[in-house]
Amino acid sequence: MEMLNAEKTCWNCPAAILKGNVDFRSCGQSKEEIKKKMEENPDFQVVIECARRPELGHFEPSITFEQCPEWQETKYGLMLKNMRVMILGIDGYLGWALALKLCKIGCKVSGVDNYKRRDMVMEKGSQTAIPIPRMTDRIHAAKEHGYHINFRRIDIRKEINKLREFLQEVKPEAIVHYAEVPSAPYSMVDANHALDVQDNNTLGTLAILFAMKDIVPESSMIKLGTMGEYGAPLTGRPLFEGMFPADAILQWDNREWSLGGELTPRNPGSFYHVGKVQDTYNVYEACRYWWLRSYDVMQGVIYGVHTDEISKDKRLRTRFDFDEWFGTVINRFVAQAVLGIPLTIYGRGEQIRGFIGLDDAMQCMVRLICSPPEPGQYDVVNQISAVYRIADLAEAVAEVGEEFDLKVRIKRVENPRVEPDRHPMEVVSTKLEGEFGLKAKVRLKDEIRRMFELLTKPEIKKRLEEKKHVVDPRTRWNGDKKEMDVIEEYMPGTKKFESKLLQQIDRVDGHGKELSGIEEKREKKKA
Amino acid sequence: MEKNFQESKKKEKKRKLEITEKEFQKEVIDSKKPVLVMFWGSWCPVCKRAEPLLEEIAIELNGKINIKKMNIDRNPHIATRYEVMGTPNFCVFKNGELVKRKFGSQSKKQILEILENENN
Repeated sequence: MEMLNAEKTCWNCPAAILKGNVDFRSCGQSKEEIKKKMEENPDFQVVIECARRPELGHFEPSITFEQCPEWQETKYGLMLKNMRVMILGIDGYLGWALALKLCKIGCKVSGVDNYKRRDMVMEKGSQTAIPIPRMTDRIHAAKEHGYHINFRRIDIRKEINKLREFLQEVKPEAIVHYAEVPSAPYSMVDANHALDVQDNNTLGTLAILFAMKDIVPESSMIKLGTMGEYGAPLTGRPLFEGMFPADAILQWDNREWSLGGELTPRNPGSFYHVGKVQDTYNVYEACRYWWLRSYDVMQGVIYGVHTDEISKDKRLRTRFDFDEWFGTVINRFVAQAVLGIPLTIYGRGEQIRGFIGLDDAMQCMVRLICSPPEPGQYDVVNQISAVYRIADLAEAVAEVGEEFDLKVRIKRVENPRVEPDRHPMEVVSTKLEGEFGLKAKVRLKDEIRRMFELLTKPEIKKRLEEKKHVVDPRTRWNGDKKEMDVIEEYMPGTKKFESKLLQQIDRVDGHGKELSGIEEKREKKKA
Repeated sequence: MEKNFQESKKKEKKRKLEITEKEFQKEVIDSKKPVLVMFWGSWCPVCKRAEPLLEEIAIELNGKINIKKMNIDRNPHIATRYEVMGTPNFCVFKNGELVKRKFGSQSKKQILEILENENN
């Protein structure tokens, strides 16, 4: 098996502590200073000390991961032996699934959470469809399966000192930042909610950056952003991975400039997304000022209930929200289908988004942890495995729903959001496969089937029934709170759409291509 | 097999672009051909984006002009000697001397412009 990170060296390794008057500002700002330093000491050179192998003393940072005994083969690439990974937001939908996956491949996992997600969902009168035990019981259950998690209840925004103390104690070699409120509608409810979301997300991230700078500057931060930061520009310009490629040119007034390496314009669609964009800039600047290292992950809309680890035991399952605030679209469609209420699509339903299955997203994160960036490196990856049109997804859910004897209807309601419901979309997403070796394997319909299997279980269906009233959207971007007017209701397979998907991405055996071409197929059938 | 071979070739080329202080004398100063050296930093997103361009140009020029890159933090002596003050810094060396320099983000066309008139 080829290890894509085999040739990376100590420069990328979080265990390497740079020594020998390293001054990254040798470029530019402190030229005189470094010149003086080098004149005083002609043997000046950059050396490191290995935190894991201090007996080596000071040496040149040129050992490759392949040569270093601390890096060992896993199916995701070479990984530091017993790598210490801290997950901020470990109690959430993604945090918990990732914690178990990392434990399984031998990482020492620590985690932090303030149970905010549980509180917010409860505040909104909803609940997770799949019941999840209290954190203490979760950790006990995980331990029975051999997964040891070091957990602390900390609010990263308000209890900075506790966070610093925990960082000091654990000295994580990678930090996964999931500790953000993941909801656009929740941030649009009213001033209090918007303040709460941006306070927790943006200021929380800032607090972590400062703590990292002081305590673990060699550690890498894998920060969860969202594809929603880019929005859906009506010009149809490609959504590059965070920064323009080197051959992008700005032309104006008969002159031209290279845009290579500059952050691309962001086009956030809610106050939650605006906060995420601010995070992007905060992390970008922290890397520039303090030589922190970070991957900013622009994750597509996530869906699914399965990873090998969480499916092992029902006490290990991760949460599943289906309410209008915290449910993601496919998860909500499946819940609506199980409840026998029409699937709600907003406006024309021709919005196009990038998607990724839960298991694939977890795989991406592990691969990113395995291949840390270099000092000061800030990089962005677009984490999607396919692009779909919302209305096509409703059709796909309906199709799988039939296998479970569910008669699914689809309901178009007026769009509570301020967004174009017909737009071009071209996502550039090549790094994960090219540089990190992602092999996506979650098939959309298989995952939908798994979701149906789980949600139609009587004990879970009962929980859905209990909270049936929070499924349909009521939070409007203009601040009103009322049911959306229904534009039309139709049966799956009867609707024709005007727009065509211009781009067909699918990493899993072209399954999305099949789905994207849903109309063409139908037309062929008719013919 | 063939694919593996090509990939390893590709990798080799990639590795060859990067040089260190120890190789500088041999690869740049003593070179009979003109050499373009891109000085770069790991913290510079512009440099990261320019890497594939540089590889492309290296393949296109096919040895007429040697293309190299050097990390300024790992090789501070050379970076200081040539007063690299901004990255990416494209320096053209001819007969061991620095003859041309341009810094900041450059498109492929602009990099090729720097190299014009240098390959004779």
